[in-house]
Amino acid sequence: MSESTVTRPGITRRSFLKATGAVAGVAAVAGGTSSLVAFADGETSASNAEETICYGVCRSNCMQSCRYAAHVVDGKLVKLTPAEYAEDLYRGSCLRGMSYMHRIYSPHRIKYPMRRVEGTERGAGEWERISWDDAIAEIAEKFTSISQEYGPKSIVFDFGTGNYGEIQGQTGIFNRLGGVIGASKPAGMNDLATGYGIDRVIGTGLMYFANEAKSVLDSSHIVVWGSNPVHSTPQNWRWMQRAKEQGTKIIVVDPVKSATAHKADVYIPIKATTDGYLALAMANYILENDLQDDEFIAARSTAPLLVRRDTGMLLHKSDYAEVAEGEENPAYVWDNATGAIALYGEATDPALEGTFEVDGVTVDTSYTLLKQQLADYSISEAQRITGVPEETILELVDVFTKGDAVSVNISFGMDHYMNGYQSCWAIAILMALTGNLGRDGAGFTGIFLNTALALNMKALWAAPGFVGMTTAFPMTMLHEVAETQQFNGEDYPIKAMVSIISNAVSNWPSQNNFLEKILPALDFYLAMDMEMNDTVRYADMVLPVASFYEHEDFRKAHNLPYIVHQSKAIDPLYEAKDDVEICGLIGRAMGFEEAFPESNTFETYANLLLSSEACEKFNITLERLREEGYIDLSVLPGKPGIVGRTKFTTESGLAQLYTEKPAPRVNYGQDVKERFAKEHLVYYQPSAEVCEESEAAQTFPIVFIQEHSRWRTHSQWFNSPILKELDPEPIYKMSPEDAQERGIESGDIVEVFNDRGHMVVKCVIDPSLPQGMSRMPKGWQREQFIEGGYQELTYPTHDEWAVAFNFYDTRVDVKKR
Amino acid sequence: MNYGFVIDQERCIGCHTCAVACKIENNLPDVVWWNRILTDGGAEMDIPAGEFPNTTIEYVPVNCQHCENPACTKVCPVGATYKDEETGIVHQDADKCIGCRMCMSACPYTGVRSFNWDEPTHVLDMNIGGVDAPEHQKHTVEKCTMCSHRVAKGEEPACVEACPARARFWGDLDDPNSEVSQIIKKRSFKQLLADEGTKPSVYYVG
Repeated sequence: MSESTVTRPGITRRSFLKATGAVAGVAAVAGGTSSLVAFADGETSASNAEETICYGVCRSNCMQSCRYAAHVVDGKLVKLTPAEYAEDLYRGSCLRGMSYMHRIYSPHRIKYPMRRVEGTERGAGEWERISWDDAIAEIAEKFTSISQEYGPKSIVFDFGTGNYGEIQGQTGIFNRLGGVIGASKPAGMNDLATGYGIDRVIGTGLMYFANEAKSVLDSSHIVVWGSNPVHSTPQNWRWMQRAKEQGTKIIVVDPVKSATAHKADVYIPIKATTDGYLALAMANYILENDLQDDEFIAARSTAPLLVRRDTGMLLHKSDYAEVAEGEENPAYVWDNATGAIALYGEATDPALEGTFEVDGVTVDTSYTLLKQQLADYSISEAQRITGVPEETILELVDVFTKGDAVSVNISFGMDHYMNGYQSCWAIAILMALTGNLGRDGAGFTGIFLNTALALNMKALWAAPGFVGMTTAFPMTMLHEVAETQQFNGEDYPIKAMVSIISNAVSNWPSQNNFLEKILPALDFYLAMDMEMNDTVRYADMVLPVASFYEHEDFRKAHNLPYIVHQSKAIDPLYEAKDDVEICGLIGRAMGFEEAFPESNTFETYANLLLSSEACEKFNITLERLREEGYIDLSVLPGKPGIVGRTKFTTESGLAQLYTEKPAPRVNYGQDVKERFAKEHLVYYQPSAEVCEESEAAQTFPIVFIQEHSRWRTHSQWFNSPILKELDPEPIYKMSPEDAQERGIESGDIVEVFNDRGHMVVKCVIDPSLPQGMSRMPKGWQREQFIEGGYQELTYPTHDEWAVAFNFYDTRVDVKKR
Repeated sequence: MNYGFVIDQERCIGCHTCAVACKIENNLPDVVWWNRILTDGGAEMDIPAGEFPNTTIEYVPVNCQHCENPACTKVCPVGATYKDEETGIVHQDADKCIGCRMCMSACPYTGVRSFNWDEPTHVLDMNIGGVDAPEHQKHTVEKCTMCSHRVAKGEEPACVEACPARARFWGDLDDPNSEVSQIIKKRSFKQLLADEGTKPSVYYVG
C-alpha cells in the first residue's frame, strides 16, 4: 500500500542544506575550511522534491506487530512513523522500530558477500569481498559435495526469529530449499515451555494459548506472572494501562521488582522458579475451602471423566464398542442417577468426584485424582518454598476466586527455567478451577496468534523434488551430535550449517559449546545477515540480506487481529538481496531448477501460501493486501479473540484436569516411559540450577537472568548507532547486598562467572533486585564485552519432556576486577 | 494561542521512543537530544530509589518547556531566542545565534539546550526525518522547536505522534476545550521548577 505523494516546497531539503551550510561555513570557518569542503563534496543536483509514503510492518521477534509509514525521499528511507490500524490502540511504535533506518544505513551494515580469508581462524575478522556469482558457486559446490559424501542430513538449516515475514522469514522460503535438499533442522527450543505446559489443560499447542491483547479491558484483575510487558511488550502494556485506568487491578508476581511491578497496584515478590508451587498450593487451598468455580468445573472441565486405575487411560467408548478411526470416542462418566457409567453428555447426574468399580476395573473421576494430587501442597509449605507470606498468598487466592474475570499475562519468564512447563501448567490448573478461562477478560494473555487463518505452508515448502527436512534432535543436542558425529549410537555426520535469520552463536545457550564443539565439526558455516553479529563473525562466508523495508512481504500479526502487508519501500542497499532471490540462486546452482525456476518471484510464492481454504474464506489475496495494507481477521467482529470461548481445543473440548496421553514436546529417542505415569497430573518440580537446593546453589549464590529490555529484540539492534547513544554498553545489575558483600560499587568492572564461562563487564547496583538475584539486558555481542559474554554462562541441557531452552536457570558468582 | 504539552507520568514507561522520534524527525546531530527521559529514582538510568521491594521510580521526559515567561529570551543579546506570539513556541533562530550561550545559563531546565561546539556530525551519511526539519549549525545553540515545521502544517509534534504509551498530549493551553486544557483542569499537575516563575508550558500529570 502506498499513499500520498507529498510535493515539497520550492527549495529541496538538500539544496536548502547546501545554502545554509555555505552561509554557516563562511561565517564560522576562520580556522579551517571543513564545512566548505563538506559543501563541495555534498549532494549535487537538486532532487525532484518528493516524499513518498508506503506502508510496512515491523517483523522482529518482540511479539508485537507495529505498522509503520515509511517515508521515502530520493530513494532513501528517511523516517518511519506509526501507521494506523482500525483499532486505534493497536497503533504502536517503539524506539527500535522507529530507528530501523539506523540499521539499514548503519556504517556497520554488511555490504557484499564476503569469505573468511583462507588460512585465518574463524572469528579472526579477516574477510575478503567476493562476487555473488563466486559466493553462490561456492555454496552450491560445498552443499552438493558434502551432501554427496555424507548425506544431505549433514547440512544443518538453522532458523531464527529475525524476521516474521511469511515469505522471507523464519517459516518462509528457505524451508523450501531445506526441503529439497533434505537437510537437518534441529527442533526449535525458544519460548516453547509456556505453551507446552498450558496445552496440558486447554489444548492450545505451543503458541496459541493467549487471548487478544485488548481482551484485558474486560478483566477485573490482571496478574502479570513472571513477565515484564512494560519493557518487553509495551504494545500489550498499553491495553493493561487502559484497563487499570478503568479500575482493573494489576498484580505482579515476579522475583524482581520489574518495571511492570513498579507500575502495578500490588507487587508480590517470589523466590525465582517456585511459581508452580505457589499456584498448586493456592489450588489446593481453594478446593479444601470450597472456593472453586463449580459451574465451570462441571460444564467446561474434564472433572467427571473416569480414569482407569489399571492403565491410567480414560474409560472410553472404545473400551466397550468398536470405534472406527476418525469416529468420536467419548469418555465415560459415572451417572449418579443410574449408578452406572454413561458416555459424557449422556448422564443425567454425572459424578464429579468418586471412585467406582466398572466391570472389575477401579476408576476415579479426573477431579478426584487432581484433588488427591494437590492435597500435599499447603499454604504453609508454599510460604517456606516461595518466600511469599501466607496472608499474601490468601490475598492472591481472593483475586482468583472473587475476581469477576482474571487474566494472567504470562509470556516467557517462567518458561526459561527447567521447570517452566510445570509452572505454567500449574497456573492453567488454577485458572480452570477458578473458572478464569474461555470468556471475556479471563484467560492468558501474552502472545496472541491468530488461529483462524491457516496459510498453505505445504504449497510453499513442498516444492517439486521435496524430500523434507529431518528433525531428529533438538537444538541443545547439536553440539553433542557435531562433536561425536553420532546420534543415538549411529553415525550422524554434521558437516555444514547455514544460519537463516538467526544469530545462533549469540542466542543459543552455552556459547562455548557452540564455539568449541559445533564450529570445529563444520567444514562450512554460512551466515546471512545485515550486521556483524556473533554468528557472522564465526562464519566462513556471509551473504548480505535485505532489510524489512527492502523487499515485499506480509505477516500474520502477533497480538493483533490482522494480517499486514509490507511494501518494498526502497531497493536493497549495496549488494544485499532478499531471501527469495538468494534461495533461488542457491537452489538453481544446486540443480533444483524445478523447485526454483527463474520465473518464480515473491508473487509466485505469496500466491502459493495464500492458496488455502481459510484465505478464501477471509478473501485474503496479495492484491487486497497490497491495496488495503492490512486485513481484519477477527472471528467475532468487534470482540477480542478469546481462546476457548465456546470450547477448548482439547480432544474432549473441555479444560483437562487430567492429561490422558501426555507426550514429550519432541521425541528424539529419550526414555518416554519412565515419566509417563507422572505426567498425567500437574506437579511441582524444582528448577535444575536456580532452586535453592541445587548443587549449583552451593557454589554459585547468585541467580542470573538475561532480561528483555527496550533496547534490543534478542540480539537485533545490538549495534544501532542511535540507541547506543542512550545505552552505550553492557551493564550487569546486582543487588545492594550481594555487591556490598563483595566490595563492589556502581561503575566497577566485575567478572561474572560460573563453571561454564564468564563475562567481564561494568556493574550497577540495582535495588529492584533482592539478594541473590542479578540481571543484564540481553543482546550484547561478544566484542562489546571487556571479556567473554553472558551467553557463556547458560547451560545446554533441557527437560526431556518440555525440550526447551532454559536461559534463566543459571547461577553465577561475581568478583571485582 | 499557547501551545504546550501534558505528559502523563502514570502512563509514561520511560521507553525513550519520544526521544528517538524527536531525534529522527529533527535530524539531530550525533549526541544531541532535545528530549531526554530522566529517571526520577536512583543514580543511574532505570534504577529505582529505595530498598527492595519498596523501591520507586518515575520517568520525567524533559524538553524545552516553552515557558510563558521564559528566562532565556530575556538574556539573548541578539534576539535569537524569542517567544512566538502566535503559537507560544519559544524559538531558537540558528541564523541569528552568536553562540554566547547566555540562554543556556539563564534557563533553569539544564540540558534542554545543547551547543554545537563543532560542525554537527551525523552517523548516517544522509539526512533523515522531516523534509523541512531545521538545520544544525556549528557554534549555535539548539533545542526543541515543538516541531514547529510540523505544527505549521497542522501536524502534532513527532514525540506526541510516536508515544506508544499515549502519555504525551499537545495542544493549545489557551483553548479551554483543548485536550491539554481539559486534562489539567481535571487532574492535579506539576510543572518543573515552578518557583522559578518561568510558567512552563509543559504540565506533568499522574
